[in-house]
Amino acid sequence: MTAGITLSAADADMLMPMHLVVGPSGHILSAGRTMKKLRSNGEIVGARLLEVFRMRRPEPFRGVIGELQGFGRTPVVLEFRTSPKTRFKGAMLPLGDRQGLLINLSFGISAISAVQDYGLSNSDFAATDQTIEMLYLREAKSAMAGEVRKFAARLEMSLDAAQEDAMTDQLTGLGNRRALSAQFEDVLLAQQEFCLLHLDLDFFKQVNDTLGHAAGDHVLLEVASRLRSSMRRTDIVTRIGGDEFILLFRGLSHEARIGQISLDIIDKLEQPITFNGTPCRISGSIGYTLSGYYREPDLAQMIADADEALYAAKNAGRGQAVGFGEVKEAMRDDHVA
Amino acid sequence: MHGLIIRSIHCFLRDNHGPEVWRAVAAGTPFAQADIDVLRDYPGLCATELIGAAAREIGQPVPDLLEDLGVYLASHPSSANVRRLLRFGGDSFTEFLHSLPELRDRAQLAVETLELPVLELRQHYAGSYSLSVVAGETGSGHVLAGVLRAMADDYGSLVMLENVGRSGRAETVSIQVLDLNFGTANAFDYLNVGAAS
Repeated sequence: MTAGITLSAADADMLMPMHLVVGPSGHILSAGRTMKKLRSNGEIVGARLLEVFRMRRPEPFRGVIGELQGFGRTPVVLEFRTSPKTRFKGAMLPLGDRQGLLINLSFGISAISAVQDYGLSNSDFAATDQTIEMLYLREAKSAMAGEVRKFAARLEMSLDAAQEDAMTDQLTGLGNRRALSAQFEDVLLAQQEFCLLHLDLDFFKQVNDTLGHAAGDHVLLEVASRLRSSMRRTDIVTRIGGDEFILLFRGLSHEARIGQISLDIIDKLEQPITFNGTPCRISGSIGYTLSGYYREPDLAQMIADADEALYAAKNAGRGQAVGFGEVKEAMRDDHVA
Repeated sequence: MHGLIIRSIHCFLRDNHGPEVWRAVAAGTPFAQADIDVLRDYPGLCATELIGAAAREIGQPVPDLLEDLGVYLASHPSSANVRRLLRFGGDSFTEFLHSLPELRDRAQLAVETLELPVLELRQHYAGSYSLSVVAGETGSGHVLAGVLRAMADDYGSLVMLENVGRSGRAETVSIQVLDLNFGTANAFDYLNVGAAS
């Protein structure tokens, strides 16, 4: 035997701020304070339950208020008929002998839109309601996700910087061998013809030996800047050794034109570079090769071939440019002879 | 100590005292080189040491700096998330106080690896409370006092705080709520509408 419980309207309001008491006629006799907040005065209390709400559960339900009594104690799902069509879940129990219904509701998972639509706060919910905790958790999770995103962005920035460091020659700021490999891949992907020049400075060792390393560094910086200024933005210049540079020109496939460009570069390098008032005179030798010579251009192979052409250029005297095409032909002639 | 807390100390020193102070503090920690991972714990590092190093660097007493850290956490724009999450504790400063004993569980619900110290609230009579940090780091009472000061301000309440000090494993702050609605509370929307994420 359990004692019956009698609740005053104020008690019910405190424990169940979203409850409805429905009379035998189907009219809402009273409602909790939060429930009343959701619609203007008179739209809930005094109105017919089924005009305000659509019953989604229990089912099957034919829409007759008397029928609801028959369901006994049951979970319910209700939805406002007018916008915002907030959905509620809760429980319903019949009162006495056909005296009506008590329905206690909550927002369930639609709490977030409900708080938004009705501007609710902590005190609008029953002490036992977890809606605010749910909102808290949602915000905490999104704040944390924000922190993690920021952390990932910082990591990415350090990674970029590290990669750039790893790809750059510290002295001249030109790309290094690693950068060359990466950019060579890009050029291949572009499926464009290109040529590869191997430039080796002449008389650089003399500058280093007579004027010291500071002069040598100064010359390298100036060479880097002259090379940059003689190339288009899409071309690539890298320093792969002490006084060795590899240049990639995109879209160039005409041998005579490349020969001319090479000589222009050498001309530029031969303009004296002044270090502390002393003119330093250097020159350069260039060997080059064209992507058109290869079915599948390969960086190592192209560098080796350009190197061979460079060797021929050095042998022909300083300040010369030789293409691998000529070298190949000379080799063939040798074989024939 | 959790990466999130280290990150907070980093932001606090950076925003209130300049990036060079943080650099000096970070020297000799893993953060001299690498970024702070906000998802993991860094065992062996403690807030007291970091703040101690910062206090020497700035030339300020450690307790003052700890309390400033608390104020920063609950009120600085860079730390708006923390202030918002604290405001979920309740609609008034009193409700907020009563929510603090569950702060540890709340934090853990949000970030599993984050372990905040236990907070215990006692009410002596209406408007008179004491709040203890149990088994926290030395000086955590000062941080707590800073947080309470900033939050009282946020709720528009006039309170008197006193750091009672350490007794056993607990550091206690006594709180007298003089006027709950002394000033205007800062607006708080449970849905963070219009926040710049």
